[in-house]
Amino acid sequence: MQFYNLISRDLKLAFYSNTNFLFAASFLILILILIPFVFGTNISEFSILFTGFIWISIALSILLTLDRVFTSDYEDGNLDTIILTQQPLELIVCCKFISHWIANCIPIIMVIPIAGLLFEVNMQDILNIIINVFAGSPGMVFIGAAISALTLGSKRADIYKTIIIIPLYIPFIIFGANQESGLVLLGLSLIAFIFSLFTSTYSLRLYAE
Amino acid sequence: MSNKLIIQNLECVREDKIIFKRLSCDVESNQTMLIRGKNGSGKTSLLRTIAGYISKYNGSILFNDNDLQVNTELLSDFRFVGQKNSLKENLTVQQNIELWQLIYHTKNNVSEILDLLDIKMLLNKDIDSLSDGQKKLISLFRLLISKAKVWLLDEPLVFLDTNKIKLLENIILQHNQSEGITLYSSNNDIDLKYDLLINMDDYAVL
Amino acid sequence: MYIKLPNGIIDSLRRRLPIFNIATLIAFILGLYYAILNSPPDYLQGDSMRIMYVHVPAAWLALSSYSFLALSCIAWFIFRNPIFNLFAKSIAPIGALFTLIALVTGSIWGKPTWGTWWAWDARLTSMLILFFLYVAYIMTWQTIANKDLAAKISAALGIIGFINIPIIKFSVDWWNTLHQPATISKLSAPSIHISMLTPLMLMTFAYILFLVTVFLMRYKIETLDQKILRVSK
Repeated sequence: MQFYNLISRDLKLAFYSNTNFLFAASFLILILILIPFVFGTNISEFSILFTGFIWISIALSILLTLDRVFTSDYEDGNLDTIILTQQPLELIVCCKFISHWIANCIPIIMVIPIAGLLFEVNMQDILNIIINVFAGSPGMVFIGAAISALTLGSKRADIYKTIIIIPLYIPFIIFGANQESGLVLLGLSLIAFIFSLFTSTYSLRLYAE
Repeated sequence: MSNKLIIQNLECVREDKIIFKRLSCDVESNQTMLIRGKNGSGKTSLLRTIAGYISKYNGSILFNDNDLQVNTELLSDFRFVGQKNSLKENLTVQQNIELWQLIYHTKNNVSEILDLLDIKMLLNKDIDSLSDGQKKLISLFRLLISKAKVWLLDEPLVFLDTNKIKLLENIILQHNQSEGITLYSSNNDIDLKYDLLINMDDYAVL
Repeated sequence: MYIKLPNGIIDSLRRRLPIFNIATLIAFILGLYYAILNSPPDYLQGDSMRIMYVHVPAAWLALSSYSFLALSCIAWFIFRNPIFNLFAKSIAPIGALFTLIALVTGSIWGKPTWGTWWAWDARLTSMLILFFLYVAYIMTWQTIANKDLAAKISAALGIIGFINIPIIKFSVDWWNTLHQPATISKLSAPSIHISMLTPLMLMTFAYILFLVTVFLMRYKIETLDQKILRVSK
């Protein structure tokens, strides 16, 4: 029950904030809008670029909204309030992961078919991409959240947070760009989950002091 | 049922440096303890240690004869209001209250508390349009949102005017009368009524 | 908790710092003599392959420095002895320097050999990432004011970056693009001639001496820093 409450709290926060669900969804389209202006209007080449741009915009949209996972709650004191309810830290961290994934990646996944239409990508490819994103994006969210938890206390964390997170995204992008590697991505996400759960709880314990 | 908070021989170490040591005190139901001291004397550290945020300390903190280091679940009956307001600046007061309700897992009617704090007219205003005193008042809302046994207030009087201080005093009095305990730190000359006083300068290691 | 001052070995090494300085200089002169003047040109790549004598040891040491850094971080988590943090902190800038040398010389070598300054292949990319990992590690210490916290965070980051080392090693198999396969690792059948191995080994030795010398200097500075911090508390 507390699990459900914490998730709905985070989703509500995302919904009330200026950068809400609409942001994540429109972000993908906005990135894709740039493609024709860079590469011309030869539609047949777009379908090759399409997968790559989907993954890049997922990575960027996660990076841009990372502050919402732990940092803003840490800075305004809400994290203290949540921790004092004495829920296990693992549970709190899981809720943060899940709600951030829902707020960020679900809108992107829902927009992918529409974006595909813009670039005349065929249905089978779109389906493959969606499966890959579904399997891989949770892992990316977990890793991003874990690193941002680790660097909570640093004022200029934004720069090197990105330095550390981007390399860790490379395996996801490699397999994501490759079709029919959904299972590998799922495995990566699982590993990322275990690693992130451990790192995040460790850091929250540190920063609560 | 009466409550009792006992601190025995508490020593707090942070960054390899002893903040304070040999601190002992007893607080019982219906009592308010004021924590006084210079800046950096460890007032906040003491409150955060009691609230369980700082888990490494020597000595013991007992709540109703249970060691808080072991029985951490008892801490869910504690409320800590720190110098951070726990408010989302770009949200309205109403929205902030909704988020807190989810954190504290309550669906109580809040209109009574709003009347008590006299903040009903602020309900639809954005937090960043409010004054510091109003924000402080709203952050005290968390104390009342659900029943707690121990209140730990870190510098609650900062930004509050005389009327609001009077209001806070009454709220604390009510809380104490229902078997509650209140600990608060203050650097101001104006104080709320208190039963016990602890002066951190006596324990601080500088 | 207090800083346990370095046990005998490091102290006695540090006292012999002048010897290390001279030895490094001699090793470099000797190594460069063999590398530039006294070794045959490669029958395929000509004189341009001589840059390998600068490149390869740098790349090796860049990787092993990071391994050392990560192992120190792990050791710190286990033993909580601040000395391990000082190890990691001392070696980080040196490792970053080696990585930079490897990157720059690599691309200078790549231009005549592959006809391009940079190829997006696995090893080059992961070397670039290794550089950023070093930078991130150094930055943690500088951006977190609370040194106790900085110690914990940087140690964690060092270990996370360590995940990158196997990626570097195995990424060649993953993508298998233009880069030459690792030559020296096949000890049973060395694919480079003995006349080229001598300068390579000499250069590696010189690099190691340089690493140890600078490490000892930096370690001294870091311990002094710690002492100042302790006194000023």
